[in-house]
Amino acid sequence: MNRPSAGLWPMIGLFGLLLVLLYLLSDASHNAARFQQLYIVLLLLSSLFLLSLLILIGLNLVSLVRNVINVTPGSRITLRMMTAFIVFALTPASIVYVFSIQMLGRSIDSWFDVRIENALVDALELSRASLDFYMRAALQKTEPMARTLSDVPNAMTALSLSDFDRTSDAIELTVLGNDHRIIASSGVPGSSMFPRLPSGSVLRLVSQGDTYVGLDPQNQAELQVRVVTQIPATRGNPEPRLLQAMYPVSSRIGKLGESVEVAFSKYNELVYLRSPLKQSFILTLSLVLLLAVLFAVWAAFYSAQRLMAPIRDLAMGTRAVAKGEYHQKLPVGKLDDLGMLLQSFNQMTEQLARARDAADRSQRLVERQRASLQTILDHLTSGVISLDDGGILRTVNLTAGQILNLELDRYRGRRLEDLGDEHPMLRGFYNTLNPHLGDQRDWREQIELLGPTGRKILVCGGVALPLGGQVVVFDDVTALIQAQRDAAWAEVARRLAHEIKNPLTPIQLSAERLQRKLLPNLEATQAKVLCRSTDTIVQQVKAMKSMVNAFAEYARTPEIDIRPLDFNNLIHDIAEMYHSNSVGAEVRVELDPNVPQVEVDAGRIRQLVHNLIKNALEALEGRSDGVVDVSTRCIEDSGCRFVELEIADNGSGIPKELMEHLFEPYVTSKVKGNGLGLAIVKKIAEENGGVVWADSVPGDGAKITVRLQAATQPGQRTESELRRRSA
Amino acid sequence: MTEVTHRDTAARSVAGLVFALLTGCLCLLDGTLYADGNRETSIAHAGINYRQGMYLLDVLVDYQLSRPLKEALTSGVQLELVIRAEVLRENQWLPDTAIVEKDFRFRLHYNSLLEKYLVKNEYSGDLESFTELTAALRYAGKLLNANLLSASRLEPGETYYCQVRAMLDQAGLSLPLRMLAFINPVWRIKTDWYVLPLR
Repeated sequence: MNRPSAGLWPMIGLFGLLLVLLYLLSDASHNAARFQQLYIVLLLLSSLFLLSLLILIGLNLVSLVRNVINVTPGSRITLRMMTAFIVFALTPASIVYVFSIQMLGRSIDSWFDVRIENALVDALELSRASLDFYMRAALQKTEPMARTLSDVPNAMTALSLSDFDRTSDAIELTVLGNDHRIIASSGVPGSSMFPRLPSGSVLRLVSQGDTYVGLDPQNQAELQVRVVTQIPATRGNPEPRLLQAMYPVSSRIGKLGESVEVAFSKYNELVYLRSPLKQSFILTLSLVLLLAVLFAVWAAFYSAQRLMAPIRDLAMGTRAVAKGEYHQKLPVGKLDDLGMLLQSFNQMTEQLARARDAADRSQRLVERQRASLQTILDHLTSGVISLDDGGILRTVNLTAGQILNLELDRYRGRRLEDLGDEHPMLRGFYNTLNPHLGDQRDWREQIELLGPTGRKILVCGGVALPLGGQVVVFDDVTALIQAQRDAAWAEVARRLAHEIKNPLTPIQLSAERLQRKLLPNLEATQAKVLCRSTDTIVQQVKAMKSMVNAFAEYARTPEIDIRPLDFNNLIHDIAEMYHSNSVGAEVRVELDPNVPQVEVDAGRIRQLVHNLIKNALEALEGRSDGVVDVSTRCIEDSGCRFVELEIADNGSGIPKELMEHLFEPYVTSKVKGNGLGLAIVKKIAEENGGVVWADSVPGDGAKITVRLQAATQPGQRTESELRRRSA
Repeated sequence: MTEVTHRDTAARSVAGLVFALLTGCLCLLDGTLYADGNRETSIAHAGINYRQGMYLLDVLVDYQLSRPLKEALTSGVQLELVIRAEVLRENQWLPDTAIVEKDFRFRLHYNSLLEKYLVKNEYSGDLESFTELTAALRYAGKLLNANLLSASRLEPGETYYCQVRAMLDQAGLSLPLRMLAFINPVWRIKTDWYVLPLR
């Protein structure tokens, strides 16, 4: 941030030069001779001064305009100050200038007076009259001499001239021939060695018979009267001759005449120069005024820049602070008002810098803590999200996204409710969380979601944050619950085998033995009772064995052989087998040709389809218009492709009270059956990564839907698939 | 006769240019400053004679005064008419070197008492009076056998030439007229150089 101190010395120098010029002008106005001598110097100096000022002002003006265009701090106020300075300088200067011009004109006009002019003219006329007297006297003296010489031959002319020289006061007498050659001449001592001949015009005048009388100026303000006249021709001197006589004029008369002439000429010159003189004074005054005004303008530039420098520094410092540069120090000059302001600014920036450094340290600490927390969150096996009071997602960890099969990090800052529109799975999630968002107490719930990877069971817990909002922690317990259920059923199967199935054989054998041992010894009536009883026992034991085997089969964890399967072909083959069925129902098949392959265990899926069709046919027993619709279709949900199988009947439907536990073992609305059909269907679907659900309107039939994931490209295994493979 | 010192014509031109901007408008208001449109002053004849080891100069200038100059003269303003002669040595690469610079001055003014034009030859000191301006200008423009330089100042093997011009010395004008002469050409008399070989 530069101070304009470098421009101080030129300003002082120019100011000094301006003062010198003004002094010289003032001095010269009183001394014409000095003015004459210094005029060119003044003119040159003024021109240089003017040029210097113009260059300086031009440079400053260009700089100012550039700064205004670039919106440099302080430039606009400098412009305003400059405008004010110029107006304040020009207004009084213009007034003074106008009055000065008027005063100057009047002052010069006052030099001239008609009376003086008349007096000078009269003095000149008087001088002329006086000289005329001399000339007439000289003529009167010369004419007799010319007549006398008319009878004098050329050879005697010199003698005659000598006589005239002694008797007259002529200082030079010369006789010229017809060819203007000198015939004779005489002069007083001290006069010119050679006679000064009249000019050609005088000779021509005299040759025509006239007489010339005139005044000839000499050096040292002397005047002489020249008389040239013709010498009359006579019989002895027939050729015309000329006589020139030179008479002195009194030196006093000559000096007085010269004095009058000089005064008249000077006055006349002054009158002639009046207008140019006015113009020159006006121009000089204008030049000085221009110099003074330009100097004032430049001084205004300099002062404004000097005054604005601290403000400009302050503005630039403020900008620097706004950009976060707190360590910039402003130069503090004098401790005046602006200096104290700059000092205060520096103190403020120091304090800001310290505060900023402290805030930076705190922020870095918070960032490190946040990073640590994020690392912890990312490595948790539970999903963690935080929502603010508006339900906007603020924090997520990796596991949350993995559980919900979404890149939740992308949705940070968006309302969870809005995300439900894009991802139906999140809708159920949000619906569960929503009642608790304003809740200040801890809460815990289990959620079951149907997502692209199948059914998920989440255990959610939430707690209100101190600054508002909720943090929600959830775990995917689908596999855990499945494993627990499998283990429970396995235990049931084992206990059944151990506790029920094992005693059945001895019971059966004992009943058969009783029949075999006692039957021969009994009467027909008793034998008939025995046979019926033992047969009943045997039949029931067999039924129980069958039930236990079915249960064991359900509880068994079979080997899964996952392979790509053309799902439509499988459905078509199975449905073909049921076109002629014992119920007499119509089996209609509608397969979507766009259904892709699925990666499933073909045998288990075949069993699933058999179970569902049988189940549907059993629901139609006793109806003559029974119809079973078997259809497939391909759908996309949450960016995944699925294959859905729907098997619908137009039977009596599923009672409402059974819907909730429809897929659990021993739940059936039919008289016959062991209640394991739909439970096995659900088990097979889940083993193959699918889901199954039922829709029913009582009295209007039922529909079972199985959704399986479409086969993926190599390397694109889903989580559920991986889970199934690992299982 | 006076020896002429070279003036800083460049600085003068700059000053005149700046001043012209300031004074031009005011000067244009004065209609008497415009030129007559007559012939310009020219050198009608010039010659160099060699006599007894001296080079003598003859010049005949045809002076033409503009109307403002005539009016100024009859109003009492003195005019200094100058015939400037220079002898220069030719240089091949550098500017030619002036070895002689001479001004022959004639002071012309009008005497109201005598009603005559007086011409004083500053070179010879002679003062002549004329009733006609043309006769006075003819006298002021005639230079016969004026000493130019001695032949001994010329170096053998070098080439010399003489150049002559006639002009009105503006420094001899009154101050306001000198200022006008900066601006208005009608107040200026200056012929081109008339070049004479020197053998």
